[in-house]
Amino acid sequence: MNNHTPPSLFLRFFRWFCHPDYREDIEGDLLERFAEKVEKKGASKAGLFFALEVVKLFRPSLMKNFTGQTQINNYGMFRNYLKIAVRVFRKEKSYSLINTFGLVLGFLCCMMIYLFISDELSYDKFHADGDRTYRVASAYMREGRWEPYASNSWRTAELIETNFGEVEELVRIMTNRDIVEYGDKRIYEEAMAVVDENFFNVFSFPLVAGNTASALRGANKVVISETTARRYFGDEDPMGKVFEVDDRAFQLQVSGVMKDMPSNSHFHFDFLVSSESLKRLAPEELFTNIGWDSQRVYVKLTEGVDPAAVEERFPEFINANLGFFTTANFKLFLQPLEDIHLTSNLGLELEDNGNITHIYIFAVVAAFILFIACVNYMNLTTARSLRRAREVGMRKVLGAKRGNLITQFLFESFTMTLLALVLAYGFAHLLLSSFNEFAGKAISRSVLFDGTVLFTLFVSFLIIGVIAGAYPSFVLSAFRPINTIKGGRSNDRKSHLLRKGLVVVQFVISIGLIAATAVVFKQLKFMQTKELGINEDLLVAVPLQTMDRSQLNAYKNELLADASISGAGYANMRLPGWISNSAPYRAQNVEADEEEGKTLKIIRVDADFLDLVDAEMLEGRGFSKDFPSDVTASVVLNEAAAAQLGWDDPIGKWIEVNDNRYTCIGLVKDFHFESLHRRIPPTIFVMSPVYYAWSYIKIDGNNIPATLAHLETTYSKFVTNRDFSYSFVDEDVRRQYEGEAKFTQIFEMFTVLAIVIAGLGTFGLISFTAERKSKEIGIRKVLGASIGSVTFLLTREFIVLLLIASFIAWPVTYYFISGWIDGFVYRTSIGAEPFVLATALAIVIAMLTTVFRSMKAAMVNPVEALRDE
Amino acid sequence: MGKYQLGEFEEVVLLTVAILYGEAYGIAIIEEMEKRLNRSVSIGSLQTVLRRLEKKGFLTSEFGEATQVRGGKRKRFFTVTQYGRKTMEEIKEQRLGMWSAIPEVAFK
Repeated sequence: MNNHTPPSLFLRFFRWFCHPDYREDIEGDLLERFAEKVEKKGASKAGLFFALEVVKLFRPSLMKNFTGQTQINNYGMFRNYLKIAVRVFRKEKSYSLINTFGLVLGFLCCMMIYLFISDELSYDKFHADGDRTYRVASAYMREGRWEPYASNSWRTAELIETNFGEVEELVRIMTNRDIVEYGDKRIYEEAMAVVDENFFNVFSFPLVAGNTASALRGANKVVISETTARRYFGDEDPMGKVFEVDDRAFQLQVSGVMKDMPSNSHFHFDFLVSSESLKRLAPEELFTNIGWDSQRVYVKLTEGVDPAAVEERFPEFINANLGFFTTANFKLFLQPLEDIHLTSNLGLELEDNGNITHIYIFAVVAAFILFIACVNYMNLTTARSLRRAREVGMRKVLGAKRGNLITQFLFESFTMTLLALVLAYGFAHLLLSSFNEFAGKAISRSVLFDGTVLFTLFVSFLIIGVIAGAYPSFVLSAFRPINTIKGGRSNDRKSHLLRKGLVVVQFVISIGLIAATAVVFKQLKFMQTKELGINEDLLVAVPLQTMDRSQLNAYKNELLADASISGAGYANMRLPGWISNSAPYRAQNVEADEEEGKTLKIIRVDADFLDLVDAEMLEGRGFSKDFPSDVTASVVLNEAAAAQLGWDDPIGKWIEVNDNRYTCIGLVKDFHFESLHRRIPPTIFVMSPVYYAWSYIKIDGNNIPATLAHLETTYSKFVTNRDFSYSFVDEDVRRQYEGEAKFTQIFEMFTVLAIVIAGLGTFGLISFTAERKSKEIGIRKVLGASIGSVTFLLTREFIVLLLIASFIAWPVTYYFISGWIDGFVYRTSIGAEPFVLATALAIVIAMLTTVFRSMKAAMVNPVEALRDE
Repeated sequence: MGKYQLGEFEEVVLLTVAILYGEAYGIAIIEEMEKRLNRSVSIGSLQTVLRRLEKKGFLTSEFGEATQVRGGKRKRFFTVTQYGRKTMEEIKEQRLGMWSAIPEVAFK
């Protein structure tokens, strides 16, 4: 014999898996065989052979019973827990349904908010080099404030490309709208963009046909989206087809088809036109004019370049290259591509962006709702505990340890949570499309199967299960068997206090949310209805489009011939809209250094416009046909312009803009031409008929359809190659706040849900209180108490809690909501009424949920309550 | 007839246990089989069959004395039961019957 030992790992493995009855003799066989092999073949081969034998022994017939006695008890116990949970659920249906329903609502809300937020956060994350792509934005100094814009000029972009070696790729995007013709189709396309040929090097939009490197090379090339291709060509191959654009002014040949831009991109275009085409069409001087503020400029920096270092060199670059623009009045800065959607809200954005504040707000609301739902569960379960005290006592007598009971109640809460989660998940599938419609999103159903979503669900299942179940399980398991079985009341004063505390917190959240909703709503209403300083009622805006500008008078006269039209006027821009036209100036009595770097906004109007919109003249007069010189040499200022110029008495003073000298003839009261998100800028009004682009027509409201029909016939006499379109100015004004309106709507919905969940909880609790006090109520009634006084007895507690909650909720809500509302330039006062309203509404809801149940308790025949003892 | 579904390996194991009467434990069986049939047998496959045969009632087993070798583990000795013996004989007769039924021309 020798001292060689077989590989211990395999021996241990064998001992572990082998059936105990066979273990001894087979192990003996193994060892004998091993010793024999050692002698014949040596230790290492014998070891290998031994391992092989052990592996061959690993077969079911020789294994021990893995579901053996040691585990059987636990499985049985869990089965019992599940059975009890189901029985409790059945026995106390209303409690259980309230409980589950609350959790389901809570989960559903959170899931929706989660989807909403993750969609918002996913914007522009799909670009391959998105982490080093930036937009070059600009800012102009106006009234001592920097006014940021998303745009830059063609020339500036060119200079950046040549001056900054760190820029690997630079691409310009210019939006465009035009009439596109193919065959019998003639469509006014609004989602067009003129882009540089390296567009696809910066942005990762996959092409279905064509080559990303060459598709946009050369003039008259266009890449269209798949949907557009189908719209024009059906099943035909779109490649090489030629569009006629802008009434056959030029042609575009399809050189590529891209997949539709995903919804989570901060811009969406159907037509990408090669920039070479633009060069053939636009006047040459535009490309060297640094004031041609039309391009969104995106740069991809070389890997490893610090964007801050690039930004640091911008001031030097501006002073050296941009002529009129200096660091005193012009600024350039970089915006990370992936942050644009949520954090950028500049002038001339490509589309309305999201808002990071809303994301935070919704996240907080989601947390609140989930908290309320959990509190409900905790409250209802502990409140119900008395009913299960006997069960706990019995289990303890039969030998259950505290740990077992904690396990049992945690198991119950996990079962509930799982049930609620599965239901909520199902509802999420069903409601996703309506949610999409509601929130203006395009979240696809496949997102619900996404790994991270499922993982998050699983984690929240664990966390919520523990949070909701921990407290009840500790309280319940602490009951002393002797008390519970004797039928005595377990002393739960402490847990009663905690329950009250939780109810107060629920009320605080509910009241806070109601008050916040009221303020948000008030601000929206304020913006939608604020007096703009003009009268925009029954004012119709009609774009002139291709109308011959020499026919303007004839057009106007023909319009006015109809009795339903009381006035008409022209302006160069849309009201309400963005005044993008601004210029430096020289003015009488103003020092040259004060003018330095300052600009005035310019709006071009005809003689009737200011009267038409009822703008109030403070001094002097408005434009008039009686003064022919008005057309070229007169200017009207608004108050902000007069203030910037420092003119106390503006009438008769001169001002020079764009090399024209104007004499001031009037001062108009400030009115809102732009949205209320922006302060009224210093603006001058001049008459320059060639620039008129919009007509404004005042109609009477007697027969609007007939008047509009008249407008259209008149219009089509003067414009033959464009369709008539119109909009009501007051509607346009309101439409500016669609972002706010949407936010308000979503916020309202979640608030309502939070209140519903809290209401469910209150209902559950009052039911419990009514039941616990049934004997007290019985005795009181025997002694002569009325139904009213008993109802009051039960409801009183909740009203007190509600008032306490109000006093906590008011200051907290005020603090946060005033922070939110300070973000608006023009804002409503918060006032006291949202808070009073919130408390009043909360009381009404609490009454609705409690009074009914209390009355029911109060009307029970006292015999019923007192008989059973 | 036909009640006794014995596999080839099972039959060989039964025979070997019978041959080694009184000395038939795991390793001895394996060595005997390897010697006679010139085929290698693993402990795993043998033990599975032994337990199965024991469960079917063809074999019984008992522990022997503990010895110094084999790490002090006892041997389990198998013996063929009466039922096992009868089955083996029946199988043998079936086979012989079949042999004798072969016409002589078949092998010419």
